[in-house]
Amino acid sequence: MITELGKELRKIRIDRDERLLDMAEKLQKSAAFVSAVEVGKKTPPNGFEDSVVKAYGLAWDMAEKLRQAADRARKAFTIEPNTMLGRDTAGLLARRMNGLSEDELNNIRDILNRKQG
Amino acid sequence: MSGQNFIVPARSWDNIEQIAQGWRSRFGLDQTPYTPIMQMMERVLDNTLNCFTLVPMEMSEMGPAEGYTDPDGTCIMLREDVYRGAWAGEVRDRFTAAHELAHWAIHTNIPLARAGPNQTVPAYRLSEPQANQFASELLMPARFFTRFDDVHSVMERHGVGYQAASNRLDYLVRKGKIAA
Repeated sequence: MITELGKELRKIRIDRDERLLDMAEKLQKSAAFVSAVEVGKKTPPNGFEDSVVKAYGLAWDMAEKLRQAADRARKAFTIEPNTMLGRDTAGLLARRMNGLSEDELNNIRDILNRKQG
Repeated sequence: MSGQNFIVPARSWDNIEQIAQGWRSRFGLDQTPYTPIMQMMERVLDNTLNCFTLVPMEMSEMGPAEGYTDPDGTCIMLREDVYRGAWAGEVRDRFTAAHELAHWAIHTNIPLARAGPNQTVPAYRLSEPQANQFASELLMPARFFTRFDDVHSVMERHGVGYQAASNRLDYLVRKGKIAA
């Protein structure tokens, strides 16, 4: 019932001996909302994981884990390219994403991960 | 479960008292009159022991229902205002939380039947009176009562509302369970 993201959020809370109520207040959300994200009833909105990272001052490795868990909880993503080439690429990605092989997806991910460093 | 009365296996009020006091004992509360119900539910039973998931729900989703316990025992839902109120020590919300914990403790993974419209079912076979009795036992154990008690001293000592305290005093007097 608890999603991967839910497990990460609960871990953050339990490590700090916090209640759902305390986390909800830090994130300026209702306890019901945070709980709904944890149990997978609601998709984490854009920027949700960044607000958690900021509110708890999470170290890089924890933050990465949380971002990955948040991405895995999402079915749809919003991309806002600011160039024509960016839009062309985003459009192609949107259309062809589910037809790409695992190797091809890994190649794309490697490129994106390299850029991050 | 909650609100709707189901026919459940019969339980005597003495049996419910034993179960509720067993719970208090396991939490080390034998000598403590005030039951930290939300500590028990969220910090211990949910976060530490993973017995169930405590799920606050938006008011728009719950409507007039204040709580709901999944019959398979996986989660206990409390309406957002009830969840917050219970943590803040609001007496009515504390009772609601204890009532849902009662459903979880004695009414999960058991056969539930709906009572027919013209069927008279005794309270000891109905889910709601059983849960209220369990909540009363959990929040107001008989051992702390004396003949000097009145409704207000019970409210103060156990963190409960007027009606709950009054019902409890009446019950304990009627049963002769108050120490002289």
